[in-house]
Amino acid sequence: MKSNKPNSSDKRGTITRRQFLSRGTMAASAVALPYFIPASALGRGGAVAPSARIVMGGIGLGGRGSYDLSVMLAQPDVQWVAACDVVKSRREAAKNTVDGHYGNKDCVAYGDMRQLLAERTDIEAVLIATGDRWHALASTWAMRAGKDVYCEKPACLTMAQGQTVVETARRYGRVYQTGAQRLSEPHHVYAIEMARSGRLGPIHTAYADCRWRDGNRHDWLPAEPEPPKDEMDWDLWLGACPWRPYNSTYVNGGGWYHFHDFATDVAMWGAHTVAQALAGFDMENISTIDFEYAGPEATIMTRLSNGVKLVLYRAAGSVWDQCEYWHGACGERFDGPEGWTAAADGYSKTDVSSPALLADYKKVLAEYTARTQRPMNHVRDFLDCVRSRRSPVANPEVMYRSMCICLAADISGQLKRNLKFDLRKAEFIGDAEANRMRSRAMRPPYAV
Amino acid sequence: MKHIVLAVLLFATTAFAQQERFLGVLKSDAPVIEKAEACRELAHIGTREAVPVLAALLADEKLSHLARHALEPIPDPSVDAALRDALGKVNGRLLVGVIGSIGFRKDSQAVGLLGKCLNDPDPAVAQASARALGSIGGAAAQVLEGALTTSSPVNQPAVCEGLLRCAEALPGARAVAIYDALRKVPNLSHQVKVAALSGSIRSRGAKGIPLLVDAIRNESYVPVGDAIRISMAMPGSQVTRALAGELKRATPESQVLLIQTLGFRGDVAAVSALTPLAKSGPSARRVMAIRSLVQLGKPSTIPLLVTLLKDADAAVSGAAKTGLTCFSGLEADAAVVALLIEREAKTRITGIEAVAQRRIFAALPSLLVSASDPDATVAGASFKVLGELGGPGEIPGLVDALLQTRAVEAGETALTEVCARQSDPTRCTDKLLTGLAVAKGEPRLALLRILGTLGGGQALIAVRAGLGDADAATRETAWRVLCDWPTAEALADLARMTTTAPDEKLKSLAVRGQLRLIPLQPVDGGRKVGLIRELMPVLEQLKQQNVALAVLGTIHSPESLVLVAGSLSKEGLKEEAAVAAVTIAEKIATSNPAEVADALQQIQTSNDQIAGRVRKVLASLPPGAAEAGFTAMFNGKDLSGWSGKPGWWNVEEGALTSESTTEKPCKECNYLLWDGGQPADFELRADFRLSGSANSGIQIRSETRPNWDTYGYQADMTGDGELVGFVYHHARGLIAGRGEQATFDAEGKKVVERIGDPAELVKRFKQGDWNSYRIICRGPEITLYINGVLMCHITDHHATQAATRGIIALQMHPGPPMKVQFKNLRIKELK
Repeated sequence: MKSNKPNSSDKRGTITRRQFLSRGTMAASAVALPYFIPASALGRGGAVAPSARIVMGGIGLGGRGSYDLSVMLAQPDVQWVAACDVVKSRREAAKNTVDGHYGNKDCVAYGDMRQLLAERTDIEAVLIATGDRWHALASTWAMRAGKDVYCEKPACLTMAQGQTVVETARRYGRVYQTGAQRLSEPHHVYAIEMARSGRLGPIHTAYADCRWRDGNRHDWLPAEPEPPKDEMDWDLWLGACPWRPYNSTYVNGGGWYHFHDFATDVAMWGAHTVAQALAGFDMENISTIDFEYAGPEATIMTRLSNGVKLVLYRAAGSVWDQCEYWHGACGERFDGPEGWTAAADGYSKTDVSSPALLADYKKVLAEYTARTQRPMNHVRDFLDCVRSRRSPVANPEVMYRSMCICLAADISGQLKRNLKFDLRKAEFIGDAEANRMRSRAMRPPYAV
Repeated sequence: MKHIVLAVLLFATTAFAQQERFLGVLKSDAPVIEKAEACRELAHIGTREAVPVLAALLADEKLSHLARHALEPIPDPSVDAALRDALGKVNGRLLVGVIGSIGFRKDSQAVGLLGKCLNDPDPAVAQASARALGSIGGAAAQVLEGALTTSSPVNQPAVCEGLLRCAEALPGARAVAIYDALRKVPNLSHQVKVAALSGSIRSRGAKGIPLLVDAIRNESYVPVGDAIRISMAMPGSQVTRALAGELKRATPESQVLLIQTLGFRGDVAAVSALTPLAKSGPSARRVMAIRSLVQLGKPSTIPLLVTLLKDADAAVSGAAKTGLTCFSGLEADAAVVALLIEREAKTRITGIEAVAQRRIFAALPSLLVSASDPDATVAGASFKVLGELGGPGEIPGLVDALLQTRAVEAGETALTEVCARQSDPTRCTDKLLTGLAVAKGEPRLALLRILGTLGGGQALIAVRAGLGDADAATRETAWRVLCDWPTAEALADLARMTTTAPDEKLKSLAVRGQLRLIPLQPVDGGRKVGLIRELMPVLEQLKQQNVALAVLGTIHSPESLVLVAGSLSKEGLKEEAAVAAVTIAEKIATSNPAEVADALQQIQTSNDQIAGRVRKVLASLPPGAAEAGFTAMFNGKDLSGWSGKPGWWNVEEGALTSESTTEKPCKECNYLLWDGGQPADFELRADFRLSGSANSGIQIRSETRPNWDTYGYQADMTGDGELVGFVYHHARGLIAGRGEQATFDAEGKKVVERIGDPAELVKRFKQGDWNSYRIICRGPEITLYINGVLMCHITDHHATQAATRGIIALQMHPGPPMKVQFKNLRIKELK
């Protein structure tokens, strides 16, 4: 294995913030102050000294990953140093993006995340935007290697994987954020805060958009010759998933979405929205959730132990169609006796049952900010937390609770029956078969 | 009960049968994919019976993984035995997998075997064993502790991971021992050090706090950050106080971290420690302290925030402002309202803005006072908020403030907004009139304008009175307000004003106002149309006339349609008239088919959309409606009513027909003359059919000449379509082509505007078949349609050649053999 590790004292001069700080060479300057100091106060015209930047790398940088990368690169306190993707063309494209941004050739491309994690002790935080099958394992490995993690959704394929992520983050004191970015968007925050603050009265029903129906295929596509390992390492691409013969459709254009080995059904889209619906409640107090099976691909009615009906909405049509609860994809809605609020993608303002409910828009958001001190920007929240060491808005517990509910809904759909789920223990009550579906064995050598 | 037993039995039988089937697949030579599916199913339903078959697959390169997938969840100890047994039989990757499954099942009987695997030369095997031992826990901890010092550096992180897993599941004292042992190991990675410290502190409970404090006292930022993160999992005031106690001692960077964390903890025990840091020190630290104090939300912080609003440091005063604005609770409301009487204008504005964001309705009386603030900016800001929050109770105060303020414009906007929100805005009028009685200058004009937005009788009287005011500005404002009056009550005023306007601009406003208000009146369509008809003579500009047509288009009555129809052929108006006509026609086609047919047939448009709407309405009319008023010119049987050159015209197939042949060539033109008169304004419709070489035409507004000849305009036609849709004239030749609008002035000078593509238009003509001509003569205008499509249009002001009336005749042209036929000839005189 050729080492790509840059010499930390070479002329490229990126002594990392961590090295810089841990050497105790820090002058009594403001460079390493946590996030809340306006960049202008640093007296560098908004620029952040390299030594004060968060050193980052990316794992899985096609599609959504390349978007995340562009957002993070734009943050003044990020220094991107490594791009990892099992697909050569993607890692090279990402390296070019990064190099183009900095005007140098310094970003190191990796094909295997294990090499990046083992060698790059300078990296403090990683973006993980692989296919869904790798999310939990890559997050676990990265945190075990001491990295803070921003991982795209859905964060895991099974409850067991999700639990490992929670435990690993807690064990090593890592900051972890799942990419449920709508939790940081004002229109959603407003809808949620209206529910939380009691302005709608006690919420009786919450809705989450789950109109994605996929990830149930078990067949194999016809075998094609595997590409050279350097171009695309098929075994590594599969990771802990069961082996199957190579076909380029899986790799290109998101063909893997359709296959149970690599994806989930309800959870695929529920990971976008259920956390939003749950954010309207104090989830610490919720012990169980009942799932009502109503037929394949039908809306799933659930009841939380606090009496609230949580509707995992699955009406016919695509997630991008207008529906009776919101227009646009990825919506959530809260119904209370005093009215309702709803938000989805593409909103310029939150939907409300009566315009009067919008009168307090600024006030509610300001109170939210005062109480949480969070920026309404998901990536920014993560980076701020890397500095302040607090948990981000979509922290492992938030991720785990919402994913457990999504995955339990999937299991109810596979078993075609009602289920009762203990949210605290993450186990089904009185259904041994359902409990056996909470994990998938991992294909060696990929293991937690 | 019997049923339940049966159901259970049935289920068990079914499950048993299923399992048998899947095991059969596994034992057969089925393809890998089928075996993989069988494993997947067995993972859900497999029992003890499945274990031997699955265990046999553990050494199978392709199926080992899915065999483990099936085995892992089977609740039977034979699985553990099978996995332990496999430890000695498989190698490499497969061994790593089997070890992982043992860890997943937490098989305590495997501790010894896994302990041996810790020394495996393959690091993947050793590391998997360490992690599995960690998952098993209990006695496995000792094995791992032993390995901690003996394992190779490459395996050490996995041993640590295992130990950390063990410690998390063990009772306090035992966990403490493991964590402390870990902490003593030199050269551990940063994150393992953090994990060990974290465990060490947390497993000690309250006794761990000194350790935490120790960690926070580190000189470097990163370890302090790690300690801070550990503290976040430790709720309680004891930890809060410990963190607060470190504030003074900490380095500036750590201080900021601590301050921030004390905010996140939400424990008001930190308030007393944070307060002095908000008051003085480095700017960044003060800002952070303010934010954390706001986050803690203790009301006793509010007076401090008020003081800091005036801080010389902009970052500090800004943070205080944001904090006070966002601070929850009534105490903060009171503090914000109190800002409205602060000495500095800047502070007062801060207060006003905070009132707006917090929506403090209790502050409205204070805002009314501020609206008369000597500082215009303060007054303007107050009005802005009053406009947002004010209700009916604020109206008298707003009027008073408007009379005194230096921000009249803002006051007008505010008062307008508040009045507009009232369900019955006229109820505001009294208050406004009271103000108007004493107002002077700008406020007076503002009140007039506000009255104008409200409307109502009383307001109208007041504004009307303004027209006669001694002050010129008042007069003009009153005039403009009346011209914008929201209801038809002002119509009579506007009519009067149109005649008495002092200048063109004001007159034009009054006219426009009338046109706007006429449709709003509560009277029938006929009356509205009558008013517009009366107004027509004063509409001097085309623009106003077009507005009038647009207004007529909203009045759906036969009267309005007739009025609109009068403009259907007027230059500059006919487009708007066509839209209005078809809009009305669509609404009244059922009740007034004759009027609709008449009007729509006068529309001259090259706009396909309008033409389409016209065709649609015409098609919907009852049969005959479009023919109302037409008289037949030909009886379909013989030549009665017509005179022509003997031997050249007869009736064939019910059509007036003339034909030349080789044997009987036509040497000179002859015409079949209509005996019915010499109409001036009329519409003529005829169907015609021409042989391919034919040349013919319909004379209109013409004169007779000897020997069956004529002179004048001709709606031209040829069998090849070439001249169809042209106007020919005996003296002037082809005076308008297909797709042209030609205008002749008195000297005969011609101006042509293109209204269609001649090549496209000719496609409407069907060669060798029947076609229809529609010819309209009205005043100086002649318009031709073929098969319902506008072909050309002339406006003829020629001093000597333009004819206003004349004979009608059908042409037989000399040339090669040809046949011309006409039928369904009918005419309607236009009034």
